[in-house]
Amino acid sequence: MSSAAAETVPAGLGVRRLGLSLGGVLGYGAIWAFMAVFLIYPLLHLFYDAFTTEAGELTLANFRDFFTDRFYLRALGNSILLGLGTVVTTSLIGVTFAFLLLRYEFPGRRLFSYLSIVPMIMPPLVGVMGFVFILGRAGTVNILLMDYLGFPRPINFMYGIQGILIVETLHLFPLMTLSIVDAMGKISPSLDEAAESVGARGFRKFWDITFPLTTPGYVSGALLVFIWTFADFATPLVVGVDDLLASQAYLNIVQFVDRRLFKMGIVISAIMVLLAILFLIVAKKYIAIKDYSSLSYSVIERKTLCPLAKGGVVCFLGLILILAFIPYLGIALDSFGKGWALTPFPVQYTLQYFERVAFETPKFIVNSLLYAGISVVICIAIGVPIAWVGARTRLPGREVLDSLTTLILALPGTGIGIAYMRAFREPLPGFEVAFIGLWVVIPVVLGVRRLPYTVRGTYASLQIVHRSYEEAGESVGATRARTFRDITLPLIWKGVLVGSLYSFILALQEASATLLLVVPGHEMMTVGIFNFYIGGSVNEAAALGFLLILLGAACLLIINRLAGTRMGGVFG
Amino acid sequence: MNIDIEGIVKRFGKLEAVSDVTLHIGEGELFTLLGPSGCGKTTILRVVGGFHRPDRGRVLFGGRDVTALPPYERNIGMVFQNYALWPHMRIFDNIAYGLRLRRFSAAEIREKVDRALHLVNLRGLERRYPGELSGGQQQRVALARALVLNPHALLLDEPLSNLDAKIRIQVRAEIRKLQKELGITTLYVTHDQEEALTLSDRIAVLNHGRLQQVGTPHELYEKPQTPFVADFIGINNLIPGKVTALRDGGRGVRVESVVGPLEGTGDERLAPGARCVVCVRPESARIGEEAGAAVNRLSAVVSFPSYIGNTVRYDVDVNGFLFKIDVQNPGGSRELPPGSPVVVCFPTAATLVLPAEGETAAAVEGAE
Amino acid sequence: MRKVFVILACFAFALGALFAPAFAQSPAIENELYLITPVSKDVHDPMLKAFAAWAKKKYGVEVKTSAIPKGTPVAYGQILEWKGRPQADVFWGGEGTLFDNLAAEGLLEKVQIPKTLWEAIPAAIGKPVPLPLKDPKGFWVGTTLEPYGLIYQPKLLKRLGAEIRDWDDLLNPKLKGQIAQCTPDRSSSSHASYEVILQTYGWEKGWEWLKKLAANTGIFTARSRDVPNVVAKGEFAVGFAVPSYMAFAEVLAGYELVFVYPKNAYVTPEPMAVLKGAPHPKAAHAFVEFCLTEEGQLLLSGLGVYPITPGLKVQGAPGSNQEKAVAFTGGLRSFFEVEIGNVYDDKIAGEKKRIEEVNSYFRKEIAEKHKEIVK
Repeated sequence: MSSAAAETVPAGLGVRRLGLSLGGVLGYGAIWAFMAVFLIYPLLHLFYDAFTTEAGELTLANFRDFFTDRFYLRALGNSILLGLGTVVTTSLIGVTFAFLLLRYEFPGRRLFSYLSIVPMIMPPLVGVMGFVFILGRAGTVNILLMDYLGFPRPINFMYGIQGILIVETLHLFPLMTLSIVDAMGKISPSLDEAAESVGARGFRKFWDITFPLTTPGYVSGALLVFIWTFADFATPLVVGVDDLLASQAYLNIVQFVDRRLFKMGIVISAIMVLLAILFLIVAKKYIAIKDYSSLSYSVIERKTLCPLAKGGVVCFLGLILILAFIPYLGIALDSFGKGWALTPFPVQYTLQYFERVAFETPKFIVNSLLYAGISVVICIAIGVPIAWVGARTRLPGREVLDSLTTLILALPGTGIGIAYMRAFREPLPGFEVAFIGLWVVIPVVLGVRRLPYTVRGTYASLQIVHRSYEEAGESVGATRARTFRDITLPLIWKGVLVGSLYSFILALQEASATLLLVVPGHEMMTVGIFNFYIGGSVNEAAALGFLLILLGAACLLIINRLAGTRMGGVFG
Repeated sequence: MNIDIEGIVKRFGKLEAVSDVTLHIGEGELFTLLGPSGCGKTTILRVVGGFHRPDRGRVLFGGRDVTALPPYERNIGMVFQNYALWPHMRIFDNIAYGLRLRRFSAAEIREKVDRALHLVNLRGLERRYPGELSGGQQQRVALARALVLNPHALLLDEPLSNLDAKIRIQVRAEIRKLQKELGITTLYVTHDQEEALTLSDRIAVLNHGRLQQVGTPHELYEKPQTPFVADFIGINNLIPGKVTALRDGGRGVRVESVVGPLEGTGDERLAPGARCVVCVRPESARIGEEAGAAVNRLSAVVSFPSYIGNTVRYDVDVNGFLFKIDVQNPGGSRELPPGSPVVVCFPTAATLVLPAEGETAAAVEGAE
Repeated sequence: MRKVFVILACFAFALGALFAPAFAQSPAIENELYLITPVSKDVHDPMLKAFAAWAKKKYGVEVKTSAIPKGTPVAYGQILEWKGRPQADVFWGGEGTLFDNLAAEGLLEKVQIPKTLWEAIPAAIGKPVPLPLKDPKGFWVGTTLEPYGLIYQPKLLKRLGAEIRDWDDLLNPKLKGQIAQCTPDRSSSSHASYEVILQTYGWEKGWEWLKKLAANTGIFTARSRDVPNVVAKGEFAVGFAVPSYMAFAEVLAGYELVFVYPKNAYVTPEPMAVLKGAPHPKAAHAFVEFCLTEEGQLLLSGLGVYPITPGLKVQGAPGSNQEKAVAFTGGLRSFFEVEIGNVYDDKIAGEKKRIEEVNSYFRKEIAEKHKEIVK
């Protein structure tokens, strides 16, 4: 990893210092080429497809069709409402979590702060499946209510938009918590104390002072939550909701019979990408005028609560976490339970699903680890130089690079998957096979999707490493390449590594883009879960999901060891 | 309103930041906590402000125990080292915020904010954001924000440390003037002894969480109680030695020091045979023939003269001890070159003998 | 210099691995086989495994098999999208018409299997409308017989106080919100069953009936395979248009389900074809052959579907999967023993225009208005 970075980085330098150094131009050019081929071109192709007819003539008819179709408009409205709703619910929970964990002392605080990150480890489809096992019409809760408390009919928790809201909220609130924790860590505690000194207290102080100061972190957290919900097509399908944009894009694309619907699928993806870009621009504008972070990292004294409040806080956090852990319980029960139906818990237990999964799992696990690993290498090889160019040089185009990486954060996975599918289906010049027919497409798309995390993690680390360290290195005679290798890299590697491990966890769980691009014979765990699920083998899907959760938890443990519990930086 | 601090102890983990400090701050007094960084002065201020709960001891405002009260119920005005102006609010809103919490009418708020801004000479900047102001202006806004609430007490935490030297002197004078005008009880924290001497009615000197001495600037300079204070306030020659004889209950002390036998004034804390420190201000010592018949006479060699305009500071070597002497520049007369043999003398009245205590080592270290 | 060489060697190796499938040569059949199929994992998985063992015995080749599970329309669309450069060898399952379309597009290769196997399969089955079981031109061949019926969860149905014997029982108001079905545009079994209703009652009355069905429907699943899934779990009581083997797979997994074969329900021969330009053509033809051998047919009969040749019956030792399957479908051992009613006319239903008409009518009148229909 270091060699790749070290090779490209002096490149950027050369350009700045000499105006023209061959290696520099080539390295910088290579980054740009990568971004052009694997980000800009597919997106342009997607828009090209959306704005042309089958015959390739320019037209706006596709968009007219979309905006005159009542069903699509309803889907658009529902998607935006669902996204906003999830932002509201995750804000309530996530912000409360962040505030309580940062500012108050109560029993089990450290345990809570670790556990509150865990719900993020939830492969797509697995979460909603777990919820249905527990909260479905025949799930544990309803069976208990009906068989033991005499409820005449089940309560409909899951089937409908409320079900999606539950699933997304309890999955995504940690994103919000991390963003807020990070933002709060960057503002000086004296701002808070100043408020207290003039008489502000409790919620008033939070609402007037503390929360507004965390806006940049909050807005980026909210954007991530919104886009995630906006792009999720798997959850709605399980609970029988299809009037959402992502579901429509997915369903229209995966059916190839009706060319008209197929085209609409592309148009919907393009609209989703456009909307995401729009939201991003708005959010960026907002953040840019409100950056309050100071680099004072003095720690604020945690307040001790009265026993009653302590109990309340512990109960609240415990309750939310119990709810957030429901899918884990459901998945665990279903992966070991045999013929589980209409009883609160399985009556028979078996290892047969794990045995069946074991026939294919080794391949899935190896592929998952391999592709996620390669994607991390791509992230580092491209992302570290981008961060370096942004933090240390004045090269032309670096702002564009920065915007491009931020853009990736906002892109719905479905959109990227479809863009790749359209852009790379013809064999590239000089190749026998189309790019989407090669397994490398998977690590590449994973790498591109996770690039922002590496770039941000590295950029943040570079900002903390003062320029004078490097200048000191140069002053004693080290070349700038040597300086990077001997001074800068040892100082930033931890940040880079934490960012990369995050990318790794997320890459392991990624399915929205890769599901559309999977190459036969090269399936990963998430695709395996999907295939088992689609093939009707829900128990096997659960068993595979269970294994993937364990894998994710193991990675998270390693991150925690490396970085402590404060890891919001990569999400900021 | 007067403030009483009674036996405050504050620990952070294993570190005892404040050890059993008791202070009385009188009505309308400008009281300064002075000491090097880490001495516990800010911690005391924050205990008074309510940001820290002391592990032991009480804080009384006008006789009322406020130890358990949170900051927002103490009615204090606090100015932070980094100003702590809320970056998302305009200047007007920063100052008005506390008033709004107290439910003043819009008209009253406008009037009070206007008066506060007038007080600190910042009228016309209401619509700006803190980021658009200079450091000195920000400091004055912070002061206005604290004063507008008409607080019982004003707490200032190193308010000038982020300002340029020139502005610092200007703002310092303004603070002093305002405080006198308003007659508000003020607790002021600084590590800058010059700032403390010029501003304060009284000063408490702290080191390692312990109270060293409380007194007026004059008392602290003229009659330091410990070698630490003697060293921290102004410049001093601190000569380690041993008490050989006492008379008049310690008024007259004979000391065997590293530079030879000396005679000075001390107090009842001294005992024959005890280790002690002899303090001589550079401006109290004389050099050359006019030294006359003083008791304390030392033979020395000039090792380094420094020209500071109106005075010449000589570092002279007495038996390996570097002794500082300030000589008023009589104008025109040439300074002595290094290597010149000289005689140094100083009167017994200006020769202060203090018990050595544990601080001696630190003080000697500091003198280097 | 040596370092550079090592890197180059690694790179060359990686490239080689990348293109290995394309260059692989083998004496008898290729050592890989990719299947694209709507037939669910319950069936295609055991078949692929058995095929691997069979191929090992017959050709001495270790065949690595892999399946791309896709719904019928999706698989069909994917094959069109591949444009003659398929990433799979064999397409299995769905309706004969789609296979005819693919053959017409020139995307299929003629099936190469021993003549005796081909001729053992009758040309058609069912009255009054005959359903073809193989392509007279030889581009596809049926592999098994499988009804699309109704299923229910017995405990839940009993609790609701309802019964399911034939189509009309689905309209019982007690079943409100209890029926699970997949949409006809996403599932060929659903589509075929909609056609059975439409051709039985006629267009107008047929849709009226289907709207009443929608009024009782609690969920339109994303895929047909989800229907037996949610019913087995007890999330919904009744499933509409479920291929028999899908429901049987749930029974084998330990769930309680009952299968009902209603009047004139659609029976599919699950056609199979080899894709033109397949990366592993020899293995592909071998797989078709395997499915039609007695060994293959016997294996299928233990999975909840029926032999496609009149000579074979579903039977096995007591307690075997075959006997469980017979009990599950109400005692039927062969589709050639009974009179099979069929109203589904390929010539009407298979028209591209008709398919789109049915789908768009469903989308406009049922999917978009489902909330109002339920009220």
